[in-house]
Amino acid sequence: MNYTDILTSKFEPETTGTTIMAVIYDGGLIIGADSRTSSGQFVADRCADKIDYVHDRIFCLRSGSAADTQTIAKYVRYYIDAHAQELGRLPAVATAANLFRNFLYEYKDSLSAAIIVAGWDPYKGPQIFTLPLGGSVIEQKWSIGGSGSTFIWGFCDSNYKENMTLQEARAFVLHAVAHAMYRDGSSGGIIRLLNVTKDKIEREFIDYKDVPVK
Amino acid sequence: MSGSMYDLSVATYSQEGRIYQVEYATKAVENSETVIGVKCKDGVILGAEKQKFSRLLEDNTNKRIYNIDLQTGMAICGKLPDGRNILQRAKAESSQYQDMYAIPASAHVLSDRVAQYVHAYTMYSGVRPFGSATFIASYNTFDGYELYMIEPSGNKYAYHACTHGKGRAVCKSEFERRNFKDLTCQEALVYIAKMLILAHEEFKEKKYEYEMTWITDNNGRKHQSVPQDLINNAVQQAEQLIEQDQIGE
Repeated sequence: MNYTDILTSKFEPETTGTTIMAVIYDGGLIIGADSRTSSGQFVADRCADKIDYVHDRIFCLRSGSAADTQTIAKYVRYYIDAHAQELGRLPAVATAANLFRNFLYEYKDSLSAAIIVAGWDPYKGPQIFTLPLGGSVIEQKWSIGGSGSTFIWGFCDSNYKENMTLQEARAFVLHAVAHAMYRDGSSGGIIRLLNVTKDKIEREFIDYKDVPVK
Repeated sequence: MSGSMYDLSVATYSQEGRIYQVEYATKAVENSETVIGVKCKDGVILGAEKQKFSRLLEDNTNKRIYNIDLQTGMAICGKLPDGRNILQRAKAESSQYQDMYAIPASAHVLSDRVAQYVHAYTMYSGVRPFGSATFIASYNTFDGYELYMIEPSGNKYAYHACTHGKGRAVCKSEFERRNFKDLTCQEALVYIAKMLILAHEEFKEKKYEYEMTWITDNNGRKHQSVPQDLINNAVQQAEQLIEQDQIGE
């Protein structure tokens, strides 16, 4: 193998060509993501964590340019931290969504970032906010994003139900993400799940061998 | 209280560790018209005594109590123009906060910002401290009803009841006597009027009017003026109460 070719060739920007998903169920929400970060055809990170911590019960799912989304998430994490300290209680998910939105809108000409903000707050319970490229905000009961999401709209539309139980929601997210990874070249690797409730956060790691569709 | 050489600038401490300029600013507030803030069972009331220094003044305008937000009000005790500057700042802070964080600013945050602003003017020799104390009353779904007072020094505290101005001693003794936490705002109006009338003794000769605003469960939890007829009723009943007190003595 000619390593110098890889080292000297121009790298395409690192993107999270990706599959990300969040679903509200009765009592909390489930977040799921694949783990592939690609630099063109090269898989730069095959076990990435695309579920970023923003606050104790607020997370964001990143798609688009990895550099852009990581930087924005870092700023928002900082602002939310300062805000929550002043407030003296848990911040609203809508607050985090608004902070993200300000970045995505003001700098829309320079950024390539689409984000799903998902979390729980004591004021309105579990919430999901989708923030597409232009900087708009929509609140939804479930949301999918990234390049892999295009392959699973039919699957999700058919299988989503309101007020699912934890098990149903988990299975829904797991299978949806797996289907997307199966067909999307930019998504793959392992599946990460996160269950956000009032009382706790539970992370789950689904190794390649356990991915339901492959 | 003589300042000797240490009262020329707010940037100078006296030998006992006092800052005379801040104390003089507080004196400006203490010599002005009385303002009261009271938290009741179901809301908060702000009341102010307004002297009419000229017969040419229009009635029921020239306010001392303003809205910062739909659910937050500010009353100004002391120099009105100084207080209005603070009000501008409070309005800006409140609306920028809401713009950034997508939630209304709660009183403990807003009063903190205002207190920091007021305090900043006690640190530099090129500016003078504000000659006004401001009262912030607000409601939000998480913190409920809140009442804060910010003094010219930048000190801010949360209160169930607070007062400043020339008639503050009279009002404070009334606070001791009455448990406002057990009264509804409607019931408390009489006692607010009573305090304002008694406080007005300090400026006996001048013509005056009273300004009262509230935020209560019954008015949609918004900061609004108390309807004039309720104020008039309260003033009438208060005058009777004062007469009875005097006969009792």
